[in-house]
Amino acid sequence: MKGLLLKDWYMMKSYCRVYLLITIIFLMVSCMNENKFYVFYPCLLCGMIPVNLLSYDERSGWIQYSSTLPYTKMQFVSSKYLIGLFSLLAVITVTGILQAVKMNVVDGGLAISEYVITLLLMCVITTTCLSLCMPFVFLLGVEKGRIVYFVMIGIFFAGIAIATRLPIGVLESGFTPGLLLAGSVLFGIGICALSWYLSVVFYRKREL
Amino acid sequence: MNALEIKDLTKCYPGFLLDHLDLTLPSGCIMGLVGENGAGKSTTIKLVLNMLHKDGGTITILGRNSDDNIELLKEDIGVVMDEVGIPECLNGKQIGNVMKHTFKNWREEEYSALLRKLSIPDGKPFKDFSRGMKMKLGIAVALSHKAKLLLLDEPTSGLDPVVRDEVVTMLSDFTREEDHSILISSHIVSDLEKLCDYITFLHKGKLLLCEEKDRLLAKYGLLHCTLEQLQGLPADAVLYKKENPYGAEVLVLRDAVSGYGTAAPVSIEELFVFLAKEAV
Repeated sequence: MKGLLLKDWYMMKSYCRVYLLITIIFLMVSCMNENKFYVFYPCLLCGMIPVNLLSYDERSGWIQYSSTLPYTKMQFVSSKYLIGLFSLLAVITVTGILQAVKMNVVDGGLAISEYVITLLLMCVITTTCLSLCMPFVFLLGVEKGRIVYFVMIGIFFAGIAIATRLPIGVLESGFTPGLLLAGSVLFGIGICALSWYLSVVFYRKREL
Repeated sequence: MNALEIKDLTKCYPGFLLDHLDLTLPSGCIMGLVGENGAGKSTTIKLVLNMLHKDGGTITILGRNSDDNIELLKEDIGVVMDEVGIPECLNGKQIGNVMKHTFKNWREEEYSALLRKLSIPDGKPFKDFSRGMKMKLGIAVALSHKAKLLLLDEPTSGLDPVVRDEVVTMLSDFTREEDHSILISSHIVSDLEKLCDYITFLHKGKLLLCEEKDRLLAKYGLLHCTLEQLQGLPADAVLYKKENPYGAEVLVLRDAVSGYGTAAPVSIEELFVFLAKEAV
């Protein structure tokens, strides 16, 4: 699978520079703005990277060509999930460092629970969007799968809009940070594992 | 040992049926798959590689059943498809690095030597290559991991005659080793005529014939005769006839018409066209 990951890395270097630029701009804006959208958006964007790579794969004929190489379909699917998770990890690391600096310099101190919960939510939301979209990509192809991804993002922002209208007590009473932490991690791992499994099943059935 | 054995291979699509295909490619030989567009050539190659799911039949590659061992067998198979399928932003060096981590038997020095021999720049992105260069790069990859069997789907289509000749030479060189074999599909029959030991005709998903090329050329002939002479030919010797007011062009079994005139040699292309028309 190393060859597949290396090929995706080369492609990311060529095609994903714009993501890096957008990430930096949005994170810089987020340091000057309280709107969480600027923190979350680069993360959601990086969830698109595996789908975009698959789109380039489809266009270049790599999907067919790679199936003539000694890789299993499971390895092909896994490489895309790993790329998604690596990208997320990279964005979360950069976001984490910048947010820590911002909290210390601008806000006058690091609010640990808010900091951890924000980063964790970013991970879970991106993983969820990616996990919900990838099986559709492997089942229906990239273009239809991409539509599913945008629908997920729409649902996410609708969720945020609803959550911000709830009285603060409703959220705080039900979820302690510890519970939220454990629940989020379990949910993220669970949905990612299920998504990977479905993607492998769908991709094995697909004729190339 | 046979490099490839296909028995009763069946695949059904809406409007197309690959109908119980049987063919055997002996080790050390080159087999040409000839057929019109949609005859089933690419389908056959994709089924061998498990890119499509077969509806029936068995495929044995290098002595092993492909159902159980296909990923392992792909280490020994070099493939070049009609569209090479390499990502456009990658250059020759990067492709070499990817393949080094893909094939256990990757031979980097051989790959670099082939790039030099074929004048393929290793720093230029694939998207800037001409079609001929793309195809040559695909073949260089296929030849750089100690493959024993090459599966080539239309590797010469869209190439100019000079590049086609280079490709044909490279493939001939590959089969100098006695355990190296090639299954190549093309509708440029002249290339196959130069290259192949065996010829297989596919027509509308059916096998028309599969024989040694030299035997085919010895067996069939083209007889030009008058319409009266045509009437006198033994019916079982005439495989196809094309009549016009001045006479007839007849595809015949040479042995069966020895007393009726001299049948001219028939090219593989003429033979395929006549047999395909007869099979309509």
